[in-house]
Amino acid sequence: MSSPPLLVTKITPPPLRGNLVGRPQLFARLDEATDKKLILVAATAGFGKTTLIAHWSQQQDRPVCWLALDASDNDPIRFLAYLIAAIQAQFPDFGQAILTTLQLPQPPKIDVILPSLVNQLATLNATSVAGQNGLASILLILDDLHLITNPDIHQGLTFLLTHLPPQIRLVLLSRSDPPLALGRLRASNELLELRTADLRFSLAEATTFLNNIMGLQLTEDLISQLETRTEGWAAGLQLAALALQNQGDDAETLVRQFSGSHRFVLDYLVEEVLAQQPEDVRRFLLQTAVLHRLNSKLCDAILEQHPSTNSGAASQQMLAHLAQNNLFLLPLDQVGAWYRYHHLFADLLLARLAAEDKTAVSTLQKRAARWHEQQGHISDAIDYALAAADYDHATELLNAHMNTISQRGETATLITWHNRFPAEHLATQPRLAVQFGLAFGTNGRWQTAEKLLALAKPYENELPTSESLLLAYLVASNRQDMTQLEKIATRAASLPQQDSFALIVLGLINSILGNQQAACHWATQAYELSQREGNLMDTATILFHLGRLLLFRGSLHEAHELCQTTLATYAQPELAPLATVTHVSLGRIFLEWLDFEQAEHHLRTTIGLAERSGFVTGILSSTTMLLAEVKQMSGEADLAQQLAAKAIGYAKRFDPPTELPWLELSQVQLWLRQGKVGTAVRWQQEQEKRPWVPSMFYLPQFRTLVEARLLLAQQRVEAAIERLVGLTAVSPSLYTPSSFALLALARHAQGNSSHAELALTQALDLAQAENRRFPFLALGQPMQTLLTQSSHPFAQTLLPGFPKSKIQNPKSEIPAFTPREQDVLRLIAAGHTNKEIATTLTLAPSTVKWYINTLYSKLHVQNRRQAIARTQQLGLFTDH
Amino acid sequence: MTYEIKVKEWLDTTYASWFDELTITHTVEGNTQLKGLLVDQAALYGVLERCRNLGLTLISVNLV
Repeated sequence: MSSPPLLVTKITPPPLRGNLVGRPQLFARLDEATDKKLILVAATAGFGKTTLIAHWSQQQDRPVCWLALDASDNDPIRFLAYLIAAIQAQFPDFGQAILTTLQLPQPPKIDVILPSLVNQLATLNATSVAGQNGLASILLILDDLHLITNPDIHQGLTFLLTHLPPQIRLVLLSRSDPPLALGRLRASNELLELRTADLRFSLAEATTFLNNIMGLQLTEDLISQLETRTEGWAAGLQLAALALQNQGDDAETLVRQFSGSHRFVLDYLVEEVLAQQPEDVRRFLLQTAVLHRLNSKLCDAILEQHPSTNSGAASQQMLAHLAQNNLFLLPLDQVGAWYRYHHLFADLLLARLAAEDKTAVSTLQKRAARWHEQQGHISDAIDYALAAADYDHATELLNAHMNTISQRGETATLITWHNRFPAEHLATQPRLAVQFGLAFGTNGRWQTAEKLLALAKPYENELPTSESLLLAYLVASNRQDMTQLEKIATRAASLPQQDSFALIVLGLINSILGNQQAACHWATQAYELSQREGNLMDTATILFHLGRLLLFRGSLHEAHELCQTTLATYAQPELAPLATVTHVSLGRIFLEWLDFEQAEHHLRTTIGLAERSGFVTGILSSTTMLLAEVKQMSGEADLAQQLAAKAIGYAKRFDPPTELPWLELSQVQLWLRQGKVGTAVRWQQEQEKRPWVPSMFYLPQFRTLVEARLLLAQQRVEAAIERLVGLTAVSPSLYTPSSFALLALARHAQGNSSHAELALTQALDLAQAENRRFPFLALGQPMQTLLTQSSHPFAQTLLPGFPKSKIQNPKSEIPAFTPREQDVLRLIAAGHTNKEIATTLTLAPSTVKWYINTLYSKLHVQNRRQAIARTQQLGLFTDH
Repeated sequence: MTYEIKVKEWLDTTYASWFDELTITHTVEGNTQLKGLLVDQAALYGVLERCRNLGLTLISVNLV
């Protein structure tokens, strides 16, 4: 387990200078906003948003949770980790379980975690900290929210706002209006906004600031000119004050020049301020402007000066000097260790440094990357290396620390980093490409993932085992060849196994290849190894997969037991999302046992979890389809149709829709049960043109089984038998009893009753061991007939499960034809006359007529035209 | 201040919730026009950022 190193400076309310302009009107408005859910302070840079709220909240007799956001918080996982840390600064016991969830190898989506976060917020008690005032609320302040651009986080914040417990007051500081449905909050009077117009310094405030605090003694006229020119902009006034500090009598000249200038206020003022600094201060400002956060050691490192030998002011004194002189250096903690420049000021300094010396910027950033690396701040090191376009160093860092990084599950961060690499570089870095590919895949962006995996493909043999396995697995589940996958699985199986993750991947590969015995073998090994390693999180992931693999093998009792134990062991609500897979397996098991109630319970739990994650996964679509099957079996055919359509809708939202053909196989089964053979046949003809991609959620046997059913429905008995014999010969899987049962029906249709009985006995033997009833019930009335003739003890226990009085729509049934009848019908369908038929089949015309009458009766039609139409409707002979 | 923001893509009215205060109309060329009262620069940038997050192509921003 690895926790991301949290920067304590981000969750510390910014320390304030002793002397600030009081802003009583604004404070009063903030104080009165007790009935508002949200306080939004929105204004462009330099209007004093942070200062205002820090100043006001410092005077509040209630808990203040502060979080200063930065661009790296665009990862929902990291965002949540910091949000919780900010609250923990006031309530140390808060959200510990959620933090544990965030450290899972593949943490759940933010939407899944938020409800539990809201529940815990609701239990917070403001008075436990504030003491006397029972009505006190807790301030949750997010500074620099404009740096968040990830829509998942915006959605999360919208959810938080909608469900905000009454004792929490959310305060957001941003340069631009966040997309949080502000209109609705305004309309319901739940929003206090402080905007540019509110934050502007009035003439009186400007006077207090310039004359009392900065000690300038300017005339009212000069102040008024400054105020007009800067439009009450705090940063502008502060820069002006700095520029004026040493001007003495020239102050007036400067103000007049300034007011008369058309140049951008900021450029003008920064130039003035810099020009007045001694050279060493000026250099220091420009060079350290590349740093997002700075302390004296980091400054020494990037300036390559040693604190003890340096003749000039050491960085420590320099920082103290800048902070004291209001040079836009803000302390980030109470002890004066970490600082940052005001964002606006840093941007201007950086632009100036780049203009003076283009290479200086990247040289300084490279040094910052090295320093952070030495300190173990890997994310910062990677950020600086990428900023410096030092791709080799960034790659080196990513490769060395990939395990830690990917375990944190911050896939959004990985994607941001990916976007900063040039494509040419990634083409030479297979390990990086695989990891980035995995991150995109996890986020459902398979098109990009596939491109990245293709980059790594030529280097496949040079990758470490677990990574090449992962690559092979991903490539296989994205329409590549199975032969290659098989080759890699064989090679990997012969290597010494030290990595439980590699073992579980090997298990999953074998499952895709259709080898369920081997899949369970490797997954069990993975489980044992992870237990020996004591890696709880890996063990959890492996257990969730193992349950499914046991089910795929057809070991229902074993799978059931494991799934129940897993659910009991990982019962915390925060782990619920991981248990999704376990609920699907249980749903399937109970369907096999015909316990529709339990099956529905587990499937609905899964659907709830998957829907809440707001993420259309294969799980959501396959589970909805499974529920459709449950409903079909329990006699709610209409609901089954609706659910099936919904499941297919989910699958269509995949990009590309690789799960679609698999789901449609279940749909085909539903059609067949309703006698819509023609629809099913047309679907199959379409399918043959589409590529089939292996699925995590379906076994390859399922496809062959449905195809065999379709063939049988079309009376193509021999072709069906050929497939079913193939299916029953391979290693046993979930579908083996169904395959034998269908084979029995096919043999029966063939007229081979001894083979039919043999197949039925095998099906019953296999099914009895695991109490599997669904494979027989799903085959309906023909199977019921066959079972009544069987003396197998399990057959007798199955019979009561069939519907008592089966009301069949005769029109939807495919009649049983004799081979000769089939020949005649085929020729009718092809448009031949009676005479032609008689000639072709060497029959007497009267015999042909007799056959035709029998056919009309079996097809429930009156004439030849209707017979042809009915043949097409039933999908007969469409292959000719 | 009333702004008129034109983007290249055709946005249907389902996007109305994305752009709270703005009315969505379409031009004959198939572009989309977002028009409405935006009180200050922070509000305007908020709208522009939403356009960026949706991957829209900005054609023009006018104060009318």
